[in-house]
Amino acid sequence: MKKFLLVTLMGIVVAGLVFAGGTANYAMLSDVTSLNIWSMLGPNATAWNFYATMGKYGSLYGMSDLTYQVVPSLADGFWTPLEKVTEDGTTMYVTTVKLLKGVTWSDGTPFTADDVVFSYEVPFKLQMPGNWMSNLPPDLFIKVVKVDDYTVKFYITHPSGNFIYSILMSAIVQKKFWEPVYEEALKQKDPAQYMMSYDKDLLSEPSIGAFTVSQWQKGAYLLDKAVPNYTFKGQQEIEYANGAVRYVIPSLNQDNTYYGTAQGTVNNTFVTGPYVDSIIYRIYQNQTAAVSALMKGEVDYILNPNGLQKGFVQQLQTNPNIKIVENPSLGFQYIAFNLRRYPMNNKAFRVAIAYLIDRDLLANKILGGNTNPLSSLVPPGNKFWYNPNLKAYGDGMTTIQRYQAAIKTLKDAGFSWLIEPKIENGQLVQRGQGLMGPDGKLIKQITMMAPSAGYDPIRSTAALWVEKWANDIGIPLYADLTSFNNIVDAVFNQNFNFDMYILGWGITIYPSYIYEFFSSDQNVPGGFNSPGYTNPDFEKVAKAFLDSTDMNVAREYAFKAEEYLNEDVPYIVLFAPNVIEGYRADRISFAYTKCLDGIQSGYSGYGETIYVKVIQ
Amino acid sequence: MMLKYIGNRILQIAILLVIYVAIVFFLLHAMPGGIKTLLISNPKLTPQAQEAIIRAFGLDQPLWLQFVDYMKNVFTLNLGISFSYYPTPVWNIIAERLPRTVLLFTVATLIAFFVGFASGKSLAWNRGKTTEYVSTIVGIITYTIFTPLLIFVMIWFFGSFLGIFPLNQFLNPDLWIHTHLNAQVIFLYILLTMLIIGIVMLVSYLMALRFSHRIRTRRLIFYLSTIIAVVFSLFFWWISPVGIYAADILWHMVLPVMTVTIISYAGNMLVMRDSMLETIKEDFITTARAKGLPDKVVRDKHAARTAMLPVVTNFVLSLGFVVSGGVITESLFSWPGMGMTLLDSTLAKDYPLAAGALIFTGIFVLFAHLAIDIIYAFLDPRIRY
Repeated sequence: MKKFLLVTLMGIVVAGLVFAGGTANYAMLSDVTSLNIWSMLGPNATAWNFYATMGKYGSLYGMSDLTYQVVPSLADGFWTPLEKVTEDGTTMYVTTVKLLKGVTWSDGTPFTADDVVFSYEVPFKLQMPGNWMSNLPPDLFIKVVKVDDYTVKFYITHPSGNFIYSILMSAIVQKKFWEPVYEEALKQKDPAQYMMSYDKDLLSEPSIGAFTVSQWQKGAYLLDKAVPNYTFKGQQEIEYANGAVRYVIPSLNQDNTYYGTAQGTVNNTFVTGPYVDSIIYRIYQNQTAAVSALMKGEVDYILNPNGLQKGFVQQLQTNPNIKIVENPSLGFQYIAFNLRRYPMNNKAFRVAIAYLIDRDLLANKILGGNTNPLSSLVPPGNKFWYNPNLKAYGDGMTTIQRYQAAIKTLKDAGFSWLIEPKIENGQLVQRGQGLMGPDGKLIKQITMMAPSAGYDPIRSTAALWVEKWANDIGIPLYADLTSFNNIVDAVFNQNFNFDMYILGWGITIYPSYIYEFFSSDQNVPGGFNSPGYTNPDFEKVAKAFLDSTDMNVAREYAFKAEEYLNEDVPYIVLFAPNVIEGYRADRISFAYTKCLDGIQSGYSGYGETIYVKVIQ
Repeated sequence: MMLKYIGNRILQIAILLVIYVAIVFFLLHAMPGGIKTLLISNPKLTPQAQEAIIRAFGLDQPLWLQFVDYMKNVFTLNLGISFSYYPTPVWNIIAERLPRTVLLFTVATLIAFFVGFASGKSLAWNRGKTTEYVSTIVGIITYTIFTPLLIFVMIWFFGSFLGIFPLNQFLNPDLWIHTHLNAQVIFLYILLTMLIIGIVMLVSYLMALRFSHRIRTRRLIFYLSTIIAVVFSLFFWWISPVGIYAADILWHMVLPVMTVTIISYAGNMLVMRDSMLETIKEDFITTARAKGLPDKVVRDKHAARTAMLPVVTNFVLSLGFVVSGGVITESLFSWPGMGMTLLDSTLAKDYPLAAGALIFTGIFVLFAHLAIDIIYAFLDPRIRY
């Protein structure tokens, strides 16, 4: 029976793929900077580069759709446990990765360990800047060695989650194509620059992915064509309610299940395409033009890392063929305190501010539902890493209860007022004035920099409300609405020259930022630890989280680290903006539209290129 | 005498250029935030990776050292390497974008000049009539209109409502995906065609001046040569297999050219009108009329030639600025040229590219000033250097 079902399913898949075709038209708001992979992932890596060109490259491991679990891609199963070895007096950790047999590049060349070794050796040896250096951190990565045609060994300095999420997910290129260029590069004065500036025959660079770039009219469009012999065409990804994910690859005769057993309720089934013959990425220089093109039917979908501006949504909704989808972005906006300055270095002061901020009121009432209230560093959409037990200060309280809690917190810590705020019958009848610290000295004006309304009306509105709430209980907070550049300059260039500020972060599924944003080694000018947070207990668990290669263990440490941060409040996370997208439902269909960071996200394959279908 | 003057002016231009390059360099580096603003927004870039980028861009050097290097490079015609297109040389990016901008804005500037010149001349001559009032008011409205508003109206009316012109972009991908032609080549061929027609017009004008004293004969030679050159060019493009791609680009140009013309013709028209109104009060115009010369001759040969000096100044300076494009026009019509390059590079803190685009424009504008001085000597016999 099981076999029969499988055969039937395969039949449907094959029929679906046979009858597929057509051209999907995507709009982009900027051109790609290059077709050269070394340059694309270099210092000038942009979202637009990824959208149109990354579909041709592979990686050893990737992530499952919607559940975002690490799964093998070009690797055959998971890596072996890390073993400590000593070579030439150097202690390192080694693991073995098996490669899938039978995978071919679009020119028919088999994918082998040589491609893997080459893909890691070139950027590492040439010290390529940009994302390459982040993918292969010099303090972590040592080397990759070929064992046989389908086995490689990775050597790293110490166990780390970044080994999985950065090193093992680095791009794989074809050695046959790039080796002559590399040999020539080694003869140059600056080999890295030679590799990055190489621009000959790049359209003929073989692809291991579902698409290959076949044309680039600079400033106008890119044409991606489906690879006819794509190895993973017809692959089924079946996600179970119990967390297991099963991959059936008919072309390689593979059937593997990870994270449990393939039984029980099936949440999602995805069958890999491509279902279209080609995708044209049309370049428009502004969102108005792209929206007009979508309305007119010139394009089927707009790719934009920030999604559509709210103002365009109403216009698009007038067209019954356009479907609007809204998803939480993979990022958060936050208030940071400078713990190097008084009174921000007083925990009670930070907790009082945290009590005052009613993010539900802000997000749902004041900001009109344009954003999602968020109180944790990891958004709920990141299911594996999200800690559901974190309780934010003031959760479920009314504004007056928040005032009371904040006043109490300050009083308990020894703060006092010249005129104390007074609450009677559930009303604030007397605003506080002249807040004094536990030392009895008057607290001077505290400046909170926030982006101006012109740059981001949501954050500027939030800043003004935080200012009001703080002023109500006598905290002399002043919201300085200024340019984004001024804030970044003051925080990161001028040696942490701020009291408080509001900014946002774009984040990743693997929350290594929990460590990076608050670790003591980042508490240096230009480092990510802008609050100057130091807590040895946090440091210990955060480091343990980062060093864990068992993700279940890592998650426990991450939860613990988040609890410290939640308690100490170096940041107050405010909300996660929404990514609003629009597509022509009469022209194309996607496999899913409810996902973290929108359809455009890399975790959804940059516009679900392998799932998108043209409605014939 | 003239050569000495030109030599002196070139020397002045060189000094001015040094000052200009210095101002551009320090202004760009004075922008708040710096490159760090961009790098820090990507938490995937470790501080180590950020340092590597800063080193690769040469930003780890003291500012004065960067300035000395940059100055040295500029005067050896090396504009450096773009940060946002690293490691592409700035020259390559300018070479890619320039033809698109030059084609669009040269055509628009030429049309705006001729329309403005002719209408301004006619308005002044027909002063006091209803047409003068109506044209002046319309001209002032189009001259002062908020450019993005006009562009949106044009796009909506001609692109969406009537649907007769393409909405955006400079070519139609549905047509171009069937060829491996580079649009850049077509742009250059179109510019070459325009240059050839321009040369034919100039040569025929000079020949007409040399071979005949009769205005009708001169006109016949000039117009006939021009028509032959235009027809021959059109025939060449018609029989050429790439003609359809050139037609596609020209078709996409119609709406932006119309818009730029509407915005800029009125400037020429109003200047020409005012200048003509001043000129026709001069004694030599009264003398010409007293001699019994026909109205048309007095207007075109005597008044217009003198009155055109400020319009020519305007025109030549506009040609100088053609290479800088227009940020709003290029952005709203999705015409990625020099204007967009300047905007994007400034926002991306791509100092070499922004400085390169500004310096390139600056050189053209400075030489446009030199050209004006030389042209003045020919147009106004009273001016001698």
